[in-house]
Amino acid sequence: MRPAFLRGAEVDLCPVEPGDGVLLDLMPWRLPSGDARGEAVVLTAVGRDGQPVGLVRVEAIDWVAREARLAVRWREGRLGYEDALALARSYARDELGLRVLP
Amino acid sequence: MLPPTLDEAGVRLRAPGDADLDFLVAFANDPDLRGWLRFWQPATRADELAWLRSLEGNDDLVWLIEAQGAPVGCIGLHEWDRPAGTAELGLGLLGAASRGRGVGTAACRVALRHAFEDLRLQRVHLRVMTDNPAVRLYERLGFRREGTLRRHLYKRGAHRDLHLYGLLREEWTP
Repeated sequence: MRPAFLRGAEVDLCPVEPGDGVLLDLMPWRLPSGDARGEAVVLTAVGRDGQPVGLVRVEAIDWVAREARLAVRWREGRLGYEDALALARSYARDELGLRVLP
Repeated sequence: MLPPTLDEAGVRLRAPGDADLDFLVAFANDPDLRGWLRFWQPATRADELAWLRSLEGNDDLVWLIEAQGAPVGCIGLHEWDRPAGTAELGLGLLGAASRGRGVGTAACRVALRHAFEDLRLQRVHLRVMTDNPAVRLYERLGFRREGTLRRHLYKRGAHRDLHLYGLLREEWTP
């Protein structure tokens, strides 16, 4: 069982692990989960069956303006997209103190 | 720096190793624990492995806390000032079931005994969020509040204050 970084109803958002490479064709984003400058955080959405279903990135973090953007890559047909977005938004707001730009 | 194993007061403090990686990844990413600690980024297995390796080459003393044979948390002495003989205590317990059973108190007693009696430190200090229930634990151990670091962390949707606590070696009662 993967440890959840953020727990949701349909999916958990977890740290990116090498096994998530199956998703890399969907999203050629740089690993690992964060970067040294704290300008992006990448998380793997994991479904209730334990399978990765998407990748979520809090990106373009501007620590001065206190804002960021969200980007999502999702496996077609898998549940939890809206759940993952909501988790990432609450993480950005409640843990990073950032406003998420549309 | 690898710490000695300390087996006292119903808890066992030992150095974390590669076999503890699953626990350490769960610990570092736990959403509830993160609400009280300074972590804010996700930690991969590679991150935790690198952190384990870094412990061999720096001053931090980090123990895994075992209760009834299972890992339940971590405790450590960080931010060393060798000439002054001071260090900062850090404690985290994973899961609600591990809290409120005296494990944290016992682990602190063991680590503080080692700090003051074996390592002959002059002072141990810690920083804790003002609304953290663990404040009572630290006060029971004899820590004195020395000040407040205002808006020192952003947690749970708000800027949070931290209390600074200190315990001098003559104030420590085993």
